[in-house]
Amino acid sequence: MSDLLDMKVFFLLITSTFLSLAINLEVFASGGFSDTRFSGFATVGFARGGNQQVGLRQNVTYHGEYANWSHKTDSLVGVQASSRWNEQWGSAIQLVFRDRVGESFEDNITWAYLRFNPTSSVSLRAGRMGADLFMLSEYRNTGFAYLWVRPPIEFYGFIGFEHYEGLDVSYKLPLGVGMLSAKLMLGKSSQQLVNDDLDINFKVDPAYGFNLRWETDSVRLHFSHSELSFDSSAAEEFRIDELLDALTLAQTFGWSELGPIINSLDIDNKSIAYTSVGFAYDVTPWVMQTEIAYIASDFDVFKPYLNYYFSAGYKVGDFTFYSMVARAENTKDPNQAPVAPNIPVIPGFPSEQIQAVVDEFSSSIQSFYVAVSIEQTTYSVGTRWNLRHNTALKFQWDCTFIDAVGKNLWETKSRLHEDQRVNTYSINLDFVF
Amino acid sequence: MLPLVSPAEIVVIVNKDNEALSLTKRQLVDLYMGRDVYFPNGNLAMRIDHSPDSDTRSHFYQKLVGKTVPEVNAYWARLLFTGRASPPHVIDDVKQILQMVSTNPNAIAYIDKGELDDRVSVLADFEF
Repeated sequence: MSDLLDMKVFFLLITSTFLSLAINLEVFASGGFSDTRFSGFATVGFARGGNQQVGLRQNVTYHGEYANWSHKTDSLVGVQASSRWNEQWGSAIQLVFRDRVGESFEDNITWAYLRFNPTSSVSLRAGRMGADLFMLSEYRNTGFAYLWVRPPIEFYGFIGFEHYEGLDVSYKLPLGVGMLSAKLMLGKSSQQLVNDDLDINFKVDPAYGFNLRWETDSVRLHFSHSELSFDSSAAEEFRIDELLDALTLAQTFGWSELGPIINSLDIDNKSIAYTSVGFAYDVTPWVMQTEIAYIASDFDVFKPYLNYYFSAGYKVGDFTFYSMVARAENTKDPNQAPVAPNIPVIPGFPSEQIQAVVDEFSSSIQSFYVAVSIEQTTYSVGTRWNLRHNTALKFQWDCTFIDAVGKNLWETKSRLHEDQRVNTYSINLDFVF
Repeated sequence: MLPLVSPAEIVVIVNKDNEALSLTKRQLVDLYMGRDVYFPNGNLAMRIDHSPDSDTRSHFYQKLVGKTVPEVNAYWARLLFTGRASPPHVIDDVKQILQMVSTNPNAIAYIDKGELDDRVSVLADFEF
């Protein structure tokens, strides 16, 4: 689908939603089921995290904030119009305004879809929808709906897209004391992100996945598996093509060890697979939640990731006191760049200069190999205070231990020479309307 | 927070045309928590809620799922802002609630027992 067509679909949905609003208020009063609802959510947040070398960000689609109190890490506003035209058809749009690396208005549109319910247990949707990779993926912008100031960065910080264009179909049925629902998704996605100081337009096409949920009043179980294939522009976006050109040139000068490296950088038709399991428990006064994910790719540079967190809270009246531990790590070491060959010293030959170039080249390959490495652990404590029926005030303190190589959940301007310990302080006011 | 004084008894009401309707507590929970918003006969239910500040609403959800109104709203924020379900319609005035239930065959609501009138039917199983 071209961008132009995407915009047409979006405006069509907006128009249809407003038209249905105009005609359905009376229908609701007379007993029909057509109705349109406007609703929204917002966070006014201030956070101080990072240091002079690492910039705090919720995920790779945000800019980093370097040891200054900033409203940009968490503040946002979202508005939504969902419309039910009759018992079977409906549409919805949602816009979320927040700090983003992407600067086009279209990036703010998180939903614009049509919905069809052929039966009470089946739902089909087409258009732009929230990416449903993990338990909180679809509502990670709605702070009022969860306990913490933000979803754990170790788990959600590396996900470079929040929506996709395509289709999904879901089916639900009662199972035991709960409700089981299954969903299949197919589509494509693109989003601007920053990785290792590079602005990247990250495109996946196709993306597909399925998930299973089982929910009762007090327990939620979630399993999901998704596979995202790199778009043909990935080599250019990740600057792999530039590196390949340089490697190929170096190979022609006789650096034979580069052959396997050139092969390892082939990103065409490669994909990333996300598999996760989640569990949440909420019976006053206890509230607990945990997720674990394994992310693997057949692109040799992306080593497997293991991400997990565990959170426990205790409610006292309108307050919930909580703590959390979250960790993200690669389960395999990054590839190693070949050691630069020693250039023989020959009188009259610029050996030193050539040696410097070759060393720099080896270093560049190594930088590329570790540009997606992640290893860090965060310990958090915090409080959520339900001020009103639609408003919550939250305080949170995080202490994060960052491996010097696995720094990439943070925005960085240069290589780290030693491990970091960083504190993050956050105050958020979340509300829905 | 729950009021210290126990509020009046709450009853669940439906339209007279739905007099024969029978719901388990589980089905009532599924309706009001958005997991299944259809009646057993397949009709889409028009669920009606009180104002978020009302004691009746607070008491109803405490009895239904053991949660406070902010907790229920946080739950609904998750469903609403993932597009999975919409919360019940809020009608502040009890007279309007009775009017809506008496004129809409698929409406369902809850009210203090003392506010009942004969235009609506009570689901006998749910006297909180």
